[in-house]
Amino acid sequence: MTRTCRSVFGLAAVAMWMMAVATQGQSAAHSSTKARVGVNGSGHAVREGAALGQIDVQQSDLLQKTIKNNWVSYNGDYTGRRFSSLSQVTPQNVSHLAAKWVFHTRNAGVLEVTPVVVAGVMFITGSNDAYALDARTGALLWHHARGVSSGLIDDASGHINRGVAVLGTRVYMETDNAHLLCLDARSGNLIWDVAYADNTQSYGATSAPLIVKDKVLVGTSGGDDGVRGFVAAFDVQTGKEVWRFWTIPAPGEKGSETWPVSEDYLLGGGTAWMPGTYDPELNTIYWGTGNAAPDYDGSVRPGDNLYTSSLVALDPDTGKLKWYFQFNPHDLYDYDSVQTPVLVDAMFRNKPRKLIVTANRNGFLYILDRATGEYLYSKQFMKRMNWAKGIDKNGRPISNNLIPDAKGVLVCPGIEGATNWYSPSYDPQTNMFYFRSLEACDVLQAKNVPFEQGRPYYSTGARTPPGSVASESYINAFDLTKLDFAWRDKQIGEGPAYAGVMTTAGGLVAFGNNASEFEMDDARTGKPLWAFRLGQPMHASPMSYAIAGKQYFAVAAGDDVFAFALP
Amino acid sequence: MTRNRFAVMLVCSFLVLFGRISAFGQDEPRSGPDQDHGAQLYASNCAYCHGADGRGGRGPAIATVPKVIAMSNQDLMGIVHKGEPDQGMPGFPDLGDPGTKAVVQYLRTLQGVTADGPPAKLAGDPDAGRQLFFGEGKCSTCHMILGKGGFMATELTSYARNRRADEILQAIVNPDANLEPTSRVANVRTREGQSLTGVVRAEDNLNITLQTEDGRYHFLSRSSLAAVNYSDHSLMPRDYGTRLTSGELDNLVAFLIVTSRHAPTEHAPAKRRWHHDD
Repeated sequence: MTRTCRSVFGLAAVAMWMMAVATQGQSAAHSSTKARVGVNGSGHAVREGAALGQIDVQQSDLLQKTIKNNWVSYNGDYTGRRFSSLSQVTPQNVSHLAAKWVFHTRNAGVLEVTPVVVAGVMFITGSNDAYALDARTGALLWHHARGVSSGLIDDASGHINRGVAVLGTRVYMETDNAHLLCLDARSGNLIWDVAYADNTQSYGATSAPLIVKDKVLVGTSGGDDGVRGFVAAFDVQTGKEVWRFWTIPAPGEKGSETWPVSEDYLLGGGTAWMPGTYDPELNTIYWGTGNAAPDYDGSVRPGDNLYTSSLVALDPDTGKLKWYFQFNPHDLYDYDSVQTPVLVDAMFRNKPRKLIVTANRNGFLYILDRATGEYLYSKQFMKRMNWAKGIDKNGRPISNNLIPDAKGVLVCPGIEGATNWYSPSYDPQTNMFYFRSLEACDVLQAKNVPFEQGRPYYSTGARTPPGSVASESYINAFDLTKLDFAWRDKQIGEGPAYAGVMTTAGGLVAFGNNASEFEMDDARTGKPLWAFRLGQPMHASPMSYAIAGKQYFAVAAGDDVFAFALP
Repeated sequence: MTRNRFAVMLVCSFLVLFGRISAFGQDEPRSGPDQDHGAQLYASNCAYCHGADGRGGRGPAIATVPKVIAMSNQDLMGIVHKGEPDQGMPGFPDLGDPGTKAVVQYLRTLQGVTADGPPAKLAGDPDAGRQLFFGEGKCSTCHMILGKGGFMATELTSYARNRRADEILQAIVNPDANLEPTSRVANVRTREGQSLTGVVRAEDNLNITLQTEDGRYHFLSRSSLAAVNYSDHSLMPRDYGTRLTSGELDNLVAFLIVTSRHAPTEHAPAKRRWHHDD
């Protein structure tokens, strides 16, 4: 990359720079006063790292086994474990952690984004807007502005967006009306825009895309609005669709016997509204699916309703189903199962195994074999649970047969779930799985409402019964060696946060707490060590990155993104 | 797309109803009693928030936002009349119907929406302009249109939407006349004597970020620099006025205008740094 060039100053014109750019293989014939914008001489002294500021994400970056300076995707790596190998900030020095900058998006909503950082450049989204920032100062480098879509309903009308995927010099994001955008990472320019769901009001998208090899993978929201869920893969270069896996099989296909014989499978939900995870060695992607619809009224959809509220293991090249595991057959309680399926390589009952560990919205933590989908273990983590007695040896819940009706029935977990989409984390140093949980119950009422296009397909009435016990939130550390909780910290504050957790090699677990603060605890003991009040609701999961040897943490709260580092 | 076209049709039909505003293309917007009245009303009622040029201020931009441009006159008049209380915009019922119409008509001139029946005939050939843009003219080395081209300079898909042909021509032949801060070039010299030149993408009193032609951002602390020199010139070549014939320039202008007419309404160029019209 050594470049010889003259300064443009003192020359007659800057003008001819343009001719010199990107003309390799052509002759810049008319360039009489050629000047290039670039680094003079060897130039490296003006850069702080070989690749700082140069966005060019390679497959090898995406396949990194450890998260270091860069956080290249929504979850930071393909395992979804959100464990940063950065170790500069430790339980000993975390008390010195200080805010470095705030970026105000001026977005009307609450950000749910996890920032992606590559080569010192941070990419975030808010609604349909994308921003590139100097990750060291928060200064804006570019802003791709796109208005929110009008006429959307339900979830889509919230215009939520959880972030970008990056590959090469391109950034990918979904929009509230289920378009996949490809942007130039160096300018924010729109390269292509693919509408990937039927043009109804019901589909939306809130997730961050996932890059797997030469494809960019997306899902949708809208599972409670009368749609059929899917995961779709698009060519990273052209945006051409390569495959689409419908989460609800069509009549005649395997699994269709779990639905009534009707067209209702087209309304059955099961949307894939969070990013999946990927095991390159097994060449398998793992994707969680949402609840069946209508949510509390199962009378119109007798059967298990595959593959709703499930984990599906797909071939990333073809979208073909390898195996599935259904957490909530014939779900009646809106127990989406999109919580990150975290890939863990660990000893399980004295045998090294390739596992999936995931805490489900239904109140159970599951361990599966990710090569086969075999159910290995579950643990009830919600204390007040009443919807199931337990899990049988095949992994199927033993239901208490609470049926929401017109009068209503008290169900625990309630409408928000015992956990939700906010990120869990696995720390290989402690061999613990960390996640946020909620103890809350609701009275669920069902009414039979026929589907009407353009209206939500809820059969929902959910209310908190008067005089009910106050909800409680916990940050949990589940020890995979002992198969029991190492600690469970009851959260103190005004209300449950929708904020994920992450862990670091420095020995910290970081999360948004119930007092609108970004908090760091000792990962081994759960001891609270440091907190910084962000003063705004947190509906996002944190991440960590490093620039020039300095470790940063970043998290969104309200419509701002905050970054922290040691002085 | 169908919807967009529908919106454009609505705008057109209302413009026909409300009389001529101006012709599309190279003509100046017509000046007349209505427009002067509209300009006055705009200045006293709207400019405080939306900016004298409609590109935003305390309030959002209304002259450059595709969604607003695509709204029907009736919708815009409704907003002026009733306001958008949840967005913080008051209503202006006192303007009455004629005043509201005049304000919306004036906004249309700020937006450069100058359709009035069929567009005026373009002086150039847009297809030839396209060839020039992506070929010999080398415009696409730096500028992108509809996903094709470079990344250093402004994205131009909807560039011509609110600009007249003569303005576009001027921007090509005299690019530094209106040097945008986002196009500013600087050369810096480090204390070690090294030199770096790039487009200024972010700066404050302590730091300056330059982007070089390879796309790399250079995040520099001013304390590490011996000198920072800003150029009066953007990266845009200044010899297009002599290098291209007037016919070729007309072709380029025609290409940009035709492209912007067909640009999706949600298409807005990415911005470098905050603009007033965010």
